[in-house]
This record gives sequence, structure tokens and C-alpha cells, in this order.
Amino acid sequence: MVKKILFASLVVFGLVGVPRPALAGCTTDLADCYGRAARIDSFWYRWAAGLDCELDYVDCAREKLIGR
Amino acid sequence: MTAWTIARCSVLLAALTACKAPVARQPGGGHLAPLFGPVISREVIRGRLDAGDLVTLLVGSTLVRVDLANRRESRVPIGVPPGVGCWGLARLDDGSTWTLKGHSALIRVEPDGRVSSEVPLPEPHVGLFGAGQLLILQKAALTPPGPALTARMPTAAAGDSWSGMRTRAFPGMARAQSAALNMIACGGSAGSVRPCWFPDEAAVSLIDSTGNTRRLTLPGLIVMPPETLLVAENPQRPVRDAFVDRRGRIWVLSTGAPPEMPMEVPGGWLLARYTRDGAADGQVRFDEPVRLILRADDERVLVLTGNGTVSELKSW
Repeated sequence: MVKKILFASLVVFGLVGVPRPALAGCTTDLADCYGRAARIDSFWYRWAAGLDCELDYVDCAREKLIGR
Repeated sequence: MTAWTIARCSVLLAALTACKAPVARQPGGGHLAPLFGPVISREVIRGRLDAGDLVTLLVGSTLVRVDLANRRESRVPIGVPPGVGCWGLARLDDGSTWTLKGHSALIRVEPDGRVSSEVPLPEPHVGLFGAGQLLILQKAALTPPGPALTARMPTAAAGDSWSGMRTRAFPGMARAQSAALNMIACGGSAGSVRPCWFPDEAAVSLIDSTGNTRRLTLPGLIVMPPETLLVAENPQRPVRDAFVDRRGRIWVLSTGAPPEMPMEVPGGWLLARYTRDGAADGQVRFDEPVRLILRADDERVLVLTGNGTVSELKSW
């Protein structure tokens, strides 16, 4: 699970590319959140924290991608 | 000048006149005439319902009712605790109105904003629409591909897959980003089908009340790679809003090419029309950003502009 979250973080950081916090708010937040989740020791808490990160990201991206 | 020359000139003139009568206007003629408003500020519009001349918008956790015939609007806050977000609107045949409360509950909202019932959902959801007696729900698509939407009665324990829309896999992307790209938006309709779309595609799925789906690819719209779309503060969406008119034509609001100067006002700049079979039928570039297509017919197009005004564009 740690590997999965770290891998997801790398993918996300890869997408953000050159740091542009003003442009990549949701994605940067997701990468930060994955980073925090990956440091949690308990498997289940880490898994739940990772899921929360993803739902927070979906909320953020939803406004930008399909909000009017 | 001989009679033969005059005849030839007449034919040429007739041909030129016919060319001048445009069936499709090109971008450049999109002057909007304000009618009333502003009816909303820059709040994100999270849901929409249409009933006759009334359009109901969901902004934050407030319903904004826009009466197009009488040119006025009213606001009703939904009775949810502060900080709780709502998303999506559905009105069913029995007259009930529903929205998503957070990710994990459906709530029924009365006309005065009171919440009269709450139905917990077993897993996170990101979208809600209505079709006849059915609530159409979209789960957070963390494991694509699969059916994108499910239909259920409000009090049913589970739903069945609905429509032909399927979530897509994005290899190499984090699953949250893949879920974001698989979120579906739907527009208004004066016809028998409703247009729905994914945020990265220049295509709409026309879905009827039984879930039958016809997908149309829309030529002439700017499409950004998903990776670019995901990191943009104001993503350049091929389809920002869509509306099906009574004749089955599809009107599409696209981000288009915004002006060089950065704009704080949200909205798209390009209005494109397509025949019911998806053939391009003209485009217009607006002179200000537009957020929603409220109505469209042979005479005019009613839109909600970036500053929240209800405005009118002459049809073509």
C-alpha cells in the first residue's frame, strides 16, 4: 500500500511538472495529501487516508472540470 | 452588352446572393443583449433543472430559481449544515427534487428548502441527475472501465447500470485523476434526449428517458490533452455546456480560445451548433464569457453570462 501511494504521488508530481501552485491547486493538494497518507503506519488508516485524498481531489477537480 | 452576357451576369449574381445567405455563421458575431440580472455571482453552478420557463440552479447549498418569462430570480437555501456541499439536481415525475449531500447521501429538498428525507449511499458518489421516476447516480469511478451511471428509485437499496456511457481507463494516471476525468456533466434539453459528456472529450452522449444512448463526436472544438486539462486553473473544456433544442439540434458552449488578457470571469467563448446527426452547423464567438445555455430555438439563444446576467443572442 505504501508503494501504491508513493507511486501515485510520483505520477501526480509528474503531472504537475514544473511547480505552478496557482495553476495546479487540486493536483498539488492531492500530491501533498498522498505524501501525508504514505507516512501513516497502520495499513487500514493509511488506506482510508489515501481514499480521503482521492475524494478531496475529485471534489476540487469537479468544480473546475464539470462545474459551470 | 448582349442579352447572353446579361443572362450570364444574372446567373452569377443569383449565385453570389445565394452564397451570401449563410446557413452557418462563423465566429465573430456573438454580441449578447442583456435581458435581466445578474441572477448569480461567480459561484460555481453545481446543478440545474428545467421546467417550462423556470430554470433552477444549485450554487453552494442554495437553489436559485430563474423565471425566464417574468425576468426575475429568487433564492432558497437548502437546509443542510454550514459547510456541507451539495451537488447535482434531479426532479422526478412525482415532483420531488433531490440532490447529493456530500458524497454519501441523497436528500429530498422541498420547495421551501427544507430537507424532508435523507437516504444514505453505500459508497461515494459524485453526480446526480433525474430521468422520469429514476434518480441517475454516478459513483466516484476509482476503478474504471465500467458503466458510468446507475439508475434507482429513491428508496431502493441498489441501482442498475443506465445508459451506454462507460468510464474510461487512463493508464499511467493516478486513480483520483482518472476518476476526475470520468465525471459526467449533463445539459438541458427541449427535446426527447439529454446531452451528457466527459470533460476531456469533444463528444456528447444523447440519452433518452429509457437510457438509450447515441454518442456524437463534435468537430471543430479545441481539445486539450487530459494531462493539461487536469493542471489548468481554468481548464479549456471542449464542452462546457450543451443544450438540445426542440428540433434535436445540439448547441454546445465550449471554452474556445479565450482572449489574450487573463479573465477573472468564468465561462466559455464559443457557441457551436450541430445537426441531430452531429454535423457542424455554424459557430459564434461571444463578446463576453458565457456559463450556461438556458434555452435555444430558431429565433434566439438565452444564456447565462460569466457575470451572471441572462442575455440573448439572435439565432442563425
